[in-house]
Amino acid sequence: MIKNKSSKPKRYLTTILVYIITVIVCFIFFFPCLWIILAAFSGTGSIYNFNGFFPPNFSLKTFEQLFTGVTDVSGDTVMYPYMTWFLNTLIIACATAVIGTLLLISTAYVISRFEFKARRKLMKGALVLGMFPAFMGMTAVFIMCTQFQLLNNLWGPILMYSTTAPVGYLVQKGFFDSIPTSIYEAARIDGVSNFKAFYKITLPLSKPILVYTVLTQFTWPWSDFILPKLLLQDKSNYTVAVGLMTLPDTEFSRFCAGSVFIAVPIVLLYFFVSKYMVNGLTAGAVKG
Amino acid sequence: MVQRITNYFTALGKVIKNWFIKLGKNTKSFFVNLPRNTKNFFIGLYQIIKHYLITSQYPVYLSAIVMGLGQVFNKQYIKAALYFLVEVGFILFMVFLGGNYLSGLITLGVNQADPILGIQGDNSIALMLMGLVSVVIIIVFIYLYISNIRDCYRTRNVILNGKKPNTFVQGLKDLLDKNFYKTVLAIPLIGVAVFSVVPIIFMILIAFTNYSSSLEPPTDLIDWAGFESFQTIFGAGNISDTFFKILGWNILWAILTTVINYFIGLGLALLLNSKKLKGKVFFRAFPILAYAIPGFITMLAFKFMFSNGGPINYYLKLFGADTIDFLGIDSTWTARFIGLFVNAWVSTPSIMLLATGILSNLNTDLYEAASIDGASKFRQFYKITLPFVVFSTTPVIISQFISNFNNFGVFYFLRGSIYSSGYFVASDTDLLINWLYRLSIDQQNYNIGGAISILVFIITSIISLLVYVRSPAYRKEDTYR
Amino acid sequence: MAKVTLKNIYKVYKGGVKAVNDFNLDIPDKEFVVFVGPSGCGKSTTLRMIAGLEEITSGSLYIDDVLANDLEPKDRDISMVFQNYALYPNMTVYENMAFGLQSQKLPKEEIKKKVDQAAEILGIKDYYNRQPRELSGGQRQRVALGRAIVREPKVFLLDEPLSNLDAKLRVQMRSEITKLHQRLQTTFIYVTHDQTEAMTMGTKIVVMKDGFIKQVDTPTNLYMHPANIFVATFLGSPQMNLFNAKIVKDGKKYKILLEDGTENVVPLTTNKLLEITDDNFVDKDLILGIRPRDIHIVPNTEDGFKIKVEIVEKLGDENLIYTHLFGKKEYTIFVVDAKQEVKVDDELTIKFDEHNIYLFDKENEESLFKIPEYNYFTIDDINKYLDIEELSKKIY
Repeated sequence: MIKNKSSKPKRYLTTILVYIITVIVCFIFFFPCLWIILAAFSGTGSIYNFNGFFPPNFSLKTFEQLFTGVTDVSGDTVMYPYMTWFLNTLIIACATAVIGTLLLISTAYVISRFEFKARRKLMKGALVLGMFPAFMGMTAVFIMCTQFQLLNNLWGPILMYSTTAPVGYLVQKGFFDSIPTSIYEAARIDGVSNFKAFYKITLPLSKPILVYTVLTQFTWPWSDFILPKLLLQDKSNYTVAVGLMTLPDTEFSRFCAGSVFIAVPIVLLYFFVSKYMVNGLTAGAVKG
Repeated sequence: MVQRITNYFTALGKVIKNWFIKLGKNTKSFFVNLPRNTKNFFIGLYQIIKHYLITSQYPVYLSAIVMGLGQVFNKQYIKAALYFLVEVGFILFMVFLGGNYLSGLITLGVNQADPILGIQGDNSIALMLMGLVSVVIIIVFIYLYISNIRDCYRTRNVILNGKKPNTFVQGLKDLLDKNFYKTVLAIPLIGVAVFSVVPIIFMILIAFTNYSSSLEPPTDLIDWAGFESFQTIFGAGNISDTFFKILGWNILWAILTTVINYFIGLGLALLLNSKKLKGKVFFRAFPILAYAIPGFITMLAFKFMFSNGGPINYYLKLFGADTIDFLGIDSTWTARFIGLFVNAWVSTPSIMLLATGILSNLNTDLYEAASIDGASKFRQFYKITLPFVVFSTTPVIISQFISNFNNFGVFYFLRGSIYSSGYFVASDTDLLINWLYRLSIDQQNYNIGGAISILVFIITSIISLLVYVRSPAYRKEDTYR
Repeated sequence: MAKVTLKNIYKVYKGGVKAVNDFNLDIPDKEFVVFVGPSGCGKSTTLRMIAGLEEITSGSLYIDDVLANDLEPKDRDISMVFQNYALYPNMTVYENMAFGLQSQKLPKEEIKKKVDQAAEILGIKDYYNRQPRELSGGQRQRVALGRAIVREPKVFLLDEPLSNLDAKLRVQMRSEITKLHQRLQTTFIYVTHDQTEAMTMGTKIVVMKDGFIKQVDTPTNLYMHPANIFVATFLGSPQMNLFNAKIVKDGKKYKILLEDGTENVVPLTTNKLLEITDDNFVDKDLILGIRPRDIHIVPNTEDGFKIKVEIVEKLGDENLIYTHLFGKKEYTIFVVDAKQEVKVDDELTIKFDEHNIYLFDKENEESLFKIPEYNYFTIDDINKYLDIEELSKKIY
């Protein structure tokens, strides 16, 4: 036992080392964020006017530019209508969070709870679908949206996001599998319909997985850029992601302000529900 | 150790080989049996219908001819009306649109447009896509048609047995009880069919056409071209060179990122769980911050950071050094390393969270037992922690490998506008998935793009299959039910 | 208040696995029937088919003479208590008990009345506003029983309801369920793998194995007259000892030759000889069974089997003695009173009580003796227990 105990100085040394590494790691993660936040409050817009990482002076000008209306005198909000982009993103993300969660949760529940002929086939099908590259069908989706008049229409991405959500049902199914079957059998004997059992028994029990699902369904469109770039080609229909991608070096601080503004709510959300996120992550991991 | 690694790879090779053989056999038998299976399908359909027809009376015949008519005789008027409307709608669709789409799916259009003469030709691509959608609609209709006959048949039997058939309201109630699963699955199934399955089949079909940048569909007709795109990829030439160069880098990238991210993530988890560290919640907030920020912001920010006018070059200039074009056209390996770094910055936090969760499940008795046995800290880590974590995260490692293999974002943002010399519309950092995007979305070389997506699918599915077969979820699902 | 009849019931799963084979049983009204058997014997499946949770592959199920095969569980007038209680975790005790009644759309006051009544019987009124997770195992089990009672069913189905409780609680709940049965005067069907539960609670026991019924009878009759080796060894603890044996004719008399045919002999009493149903029993391969309590130590001077004690297991009031007999690989076990001092390595002489031996055909494992015909008391008979005249009429 004794020979394992390190001597006092050595122990201090390792403790100090642990702290040093931790601080360095945290710095690496924090520094880019800090840089962006500082730049968002920069008085000048272009990255070429910066003193390295630091803006030459500070002001709230960029944020003002972001939020003032379309009739701005300089006319540049018309060029980069951030508020419109933001609203578009919000609408798409919220609609997807509602519709996608609804479809995903109910699909996962049914596949977990009901025994029917096509069940195994559906599960295998979903597995095969998941193996195709995510935007293999993008061209087709693009053409389809043209046909259905869904191009430059916020419903295009909303429909795409929410209808494809059920393919990723596995994590949620894993959760529902953990609710004992006998509860539903008891409900059946009690004469409760399947639908009533779902919303009276299952839903109240599923709060963690509901939070997790809503969150993932919300953040996906919130930070996706491929689909909106393809389907929303009109500047007034851009989402924030697509809009920010069009900003040149000279609009660096506008980019930063815009990023800060959409990152803050999502970061706060993550911190509030990080418990659920970690649970969801590990659940997904264990279920493979 | 070496022996074990060799064994592992031999086993792996065998699995992959067998999988290929099986795939080949299955594909072959699929095509060989296609005519027979199609025939059998229709024979089966016929037999189902015949079964219902022979074993019952005239209302069922009527239902087979006109949907809903049998239900009228069963005095289920609302149901009858609904079925009838479905049939009318379907016939109208087929007459005015569906027939055209279906034949278009096979011929890909026959009328060449001529702007001078003002002839509006067939849009091959639209025809093809809508043809596929029509197939979905037809499948749904067949399902409804059979359910119509079956329903009539069952109701008839109930009536013959002297019982009262279900009322319409009862039928609606069943949708929330006995048939709850059908009600729930209907929308997701159709949604997935139209927005996921149809596009994928469409791209697979496109790979076998001549749809490339030289043809513009509303004006030009597209035609079937067999395996031409695959020949282009595997034959000699610029495209083939590009494909193999990109494939090589793609595999290297997937391995490097997976290994780097995994060990950094694990290291972070161990570091931030260390007993010596106080204020863990505070320190852990930083990686979570990185995890929460939308990926495109991070990657764009890094592009700015390494750009010509960016802060890094500013300091280089300040100290009198030459500026470096980190992401420029000639900086292959610097750009690749920056890609590795950026990807690590984005991905390690999620692995850290995962490993933290797994570490908290680790039985501490093991450590106590080990330290009583006199094992050193390093040995404890090497003998207990590492095997446990690696064992419980194997599925994650492999799914990480796949997502890294198909990592679109990093190089799209860092070097999205660069076209390297010696590459066919690609940069030297591009992965297959980036090339696929450029080929099909930017350059409209859809047939090559389609062929490449099929190849990416094959690679991904081999890896996924290995994961899936190994995962406990699969084995469990197989043993019960 | 119903009788349940199962006729030629089969359960075959996909892939051809037969869980229940040709199950025939008449359960009269107010009976307490116990299905007992090792796990996987089909007892739970049968119960679940009666409940309507599992489809009946073939055969007919009648509840009160109504064909119930295709009835929904809620229309069968049954209620069920599950092994893991299956309480709704998000509802309070009161809501748990009222949930089923609410979906029957009963008026609120009536629901309250019924729930109160049931809670009174089970003594759970104080927990009305608690959630299941705040209750102990025994309390949860009571709530589950309460939920079953409020439906006022014709038939009570209980699927291993006590197996998640600790030993002491189990004994207590056992008697409570028996009392409940007497009080409610309904048909109870109870599934367990525990022979003690079966023997103490049931008025009639159905012993099952591999999807087949092995024997149906009252607890006493099952113990006294096991129809086959399975029932003989399944009931009774410690298990019955089994030996290969043969009946040989010795002059005019018959005797039982044990194991290797040496001079180890058990006499065949006249009473036992008369009970034998098989005519060709002589020289047939048989199995002799003897319960551990029917092996006695005799003074070394008397005739008997000489043994050496190998293990002594002390149970308090009695001791279990383990030894090897007749070259059989398994231990032979017998019970002696704790006052009788027996130590390891003691050399003893033992004797089988020849009045209490069992003989089975080695081939089909069926008992060689006649099994008294279907001979059991219903709950009514037990209630009339004091009326000796009535009872003697039934027996003779």
